[in-house]
Amino acid sequence: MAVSVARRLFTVEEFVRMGEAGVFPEGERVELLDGEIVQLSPIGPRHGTCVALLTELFVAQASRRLLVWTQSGVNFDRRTQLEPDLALLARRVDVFRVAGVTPADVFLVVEVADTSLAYDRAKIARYARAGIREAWIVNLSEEVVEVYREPHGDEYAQQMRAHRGEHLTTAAFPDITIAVADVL
Amino acid sequence: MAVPVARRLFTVEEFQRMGEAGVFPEGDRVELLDGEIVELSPIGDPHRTSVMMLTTRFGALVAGRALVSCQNPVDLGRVTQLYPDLALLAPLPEVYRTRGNTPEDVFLVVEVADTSLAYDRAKLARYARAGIREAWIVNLNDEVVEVYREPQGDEYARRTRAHRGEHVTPAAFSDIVIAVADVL
Repeated sequence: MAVSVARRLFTVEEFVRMGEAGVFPEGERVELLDGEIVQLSPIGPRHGTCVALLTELFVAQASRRLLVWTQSGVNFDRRTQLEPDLALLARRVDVFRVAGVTPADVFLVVEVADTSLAYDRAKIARYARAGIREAWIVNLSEEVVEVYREPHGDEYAQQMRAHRGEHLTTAAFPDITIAVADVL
Repeated sequence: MAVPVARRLFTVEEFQRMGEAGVFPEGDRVELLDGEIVELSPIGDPHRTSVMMLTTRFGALVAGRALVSCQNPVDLGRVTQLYPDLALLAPLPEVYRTRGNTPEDVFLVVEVADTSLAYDRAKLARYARAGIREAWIVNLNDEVVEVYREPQGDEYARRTRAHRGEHVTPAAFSDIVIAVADVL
């Protein structure tokens, strides 16, 4: 039966408190999107391997200019805390330690998508709205990396797809290069 | 934007842990319906007056045969914990202190409805499904008390309405007579 309920929405602060209180069992992946607690699908072996390879490649090239942030929270507003698979951040470690990460600190977010593609595309809109400069979706089903740049409202004005055999650089750091084939 | 989210649902145990951890501010009225945390509307003056009248009447008449539970939780299985405006429970305080109640402990639940009528009707289906023997809706808009008995699946097989000038009696206590006019 369809019931019109006023679902209780949560703030980031409440969401964090739930985690501290042990509401979410160890290993459960949840994030907070516009006040709703969203359950993320478990990370399969292909997804996990992709994140590991991306991490390795970014860490090797970041050479202490950047912080490579994997599967940790980024605070978007009072009611949204998302966990991109990977993000490249300014090295503001002392701030992050106390106040967490905000979109202004983010040079690039990367989502690895297999079963989660529809949800990851929806998150891209959220990243654009927050003004995140660049976002990638490593689309494992189609074996491409989708690149989104120039946030404009809920979208990115510039969208490209890079296939196996091609290379990607980040807009903020053109010397950082990733071969698509290395992460699929 | 419609986002395909897998909303995280909660168990009664997790819901209670949230409350203990202070996730819900003082005065925040929430309940758990099929794993979803629902925000209840604030209680207006006619509503609270009706609840007070019901509590006073039942308190005077049950005389040790039942506990009068006012805006307290009632457990209806693993993922539902509702807060009826009033409930008559078997007098088992030692049991409730440690493990809550079971649906069999409940003689009657009463919901007072003004703005919340649609939601209160939806809750009836949960009461029926859990096997709660009898439920009343004190419908302040229509000035009637709706009486529901004989739970069958998601519904009650027997429904009657009592108007001003009439009386209502819970099935479990045939000597308890409440004048409709007293609780509107």
